[in-house]
Amino acid sequence: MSNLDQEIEAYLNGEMTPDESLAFEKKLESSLTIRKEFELYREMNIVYNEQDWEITDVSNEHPKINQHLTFLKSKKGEILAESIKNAENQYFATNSIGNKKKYLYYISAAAAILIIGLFIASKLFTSPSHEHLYLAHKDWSDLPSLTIRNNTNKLASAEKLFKAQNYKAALDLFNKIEQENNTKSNWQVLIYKAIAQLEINQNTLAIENFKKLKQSNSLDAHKAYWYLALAYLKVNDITNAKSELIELTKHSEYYNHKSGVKLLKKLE
Amino acid sequence: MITQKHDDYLLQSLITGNEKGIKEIYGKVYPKVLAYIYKHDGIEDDAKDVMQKALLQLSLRAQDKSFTISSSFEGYLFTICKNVWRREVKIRKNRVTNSVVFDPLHEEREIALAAYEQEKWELFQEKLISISENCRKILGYFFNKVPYSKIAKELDYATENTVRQRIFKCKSKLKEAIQSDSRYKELKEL
Repeated sequence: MSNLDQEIEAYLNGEMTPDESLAFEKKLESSLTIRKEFELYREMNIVYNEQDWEITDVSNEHPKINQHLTFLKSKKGEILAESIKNAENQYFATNSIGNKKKYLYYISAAAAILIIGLFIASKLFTSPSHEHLYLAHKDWSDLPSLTIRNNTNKLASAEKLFKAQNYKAALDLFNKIEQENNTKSNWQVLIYKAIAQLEINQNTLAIENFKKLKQSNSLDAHKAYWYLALAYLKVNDITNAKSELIELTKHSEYYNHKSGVKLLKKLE
Repeated sequence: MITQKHDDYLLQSLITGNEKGIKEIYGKVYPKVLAYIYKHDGIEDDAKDVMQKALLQLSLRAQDKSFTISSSFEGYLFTICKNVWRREVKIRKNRVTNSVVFDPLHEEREIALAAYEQEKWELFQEKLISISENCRKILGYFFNKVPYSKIAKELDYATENTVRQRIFKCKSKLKEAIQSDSRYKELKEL
């Protein structure tokens, strides 16, 4: 144990007088070797403490971190993240307690789709409205939550309003949050906003927002195809609904790919 | 051997994004993670969040061909989950304003950082195992803030001062073990 080690220990443990501390800090500033030594001691104290965790500075540009980031942002990284989410959904779909309700929902949704399908097949509609398809397919229950932990902030409140189908109030609050923070919403918030707009018949605005999402480099950009298809169905624009679905059916990894395939068949 | 083969299958599923395999991982590990999070002041949403982050982090690191797991897949993933939760708890404690809008781009950085931190954590654990058992034990107490007096009692040292000296020695040995490992230098070099 060198003198330096002892000094570092004393400093880290707060056992130095103010003068000693000051002198030690000067020493730290003057030598890279001493700084490195000090850094390791500091790390050890945190890493080996079971109640603690060493958080790296967010601005750290270590090549490994950058390499990780590049991967996560790559197509492959995005697909992997999506696969994990899908697997999670599948797991909870078969394991959660609230399962029964969901199951019933799917059955009724499937029945609705079937009935509508039959109607179309038998050409009972001379000028068919496709809003039914929108109604049968809209399911906002799988939207990712906007707040990771804190459930008392405004964003969480807006999400709650949305979940309670109070879309107008939710939309107002989302807009207010944006104004207050003087920032543009992130893509997940944008999805909430656009759906809320769709639900309160601000269809053009909703479609505009979904288009923005589609053109973004967001992880969720691929979801825009499904949402746009639904939005176009709602306004009875079958040509555009189809072209979104055609794009969706080309990519098996895109959001709601399977439903997209089925829906497209119904439209054809 | 069968277990090893199955572990390989689970890891491969995570590397390639095989949803069937990942779902199986959920079945094996998620209930444990949920129990752990409940026990450590979290809620169900936290458990889901931790599980997702841990899986993505592991998948990310395992893309490297040289990546291997020396323990069981389940045990390894569970350790990562525990660490991800420790990370979250620390971040929450540090967070001054809670109204930050959750930014998905930010989350990618979080996962990249967590993967880097996990790698460092593993190296430090490996080095701790490499020193003598006696040192490991006393340092275990020390790093977890057990008072010197209690350590003296537990490990049968005559005085607190002896404990203090012993800790200094052991810490110094551990420090050297970490410093002399090229992986540490690599993790610190910019």
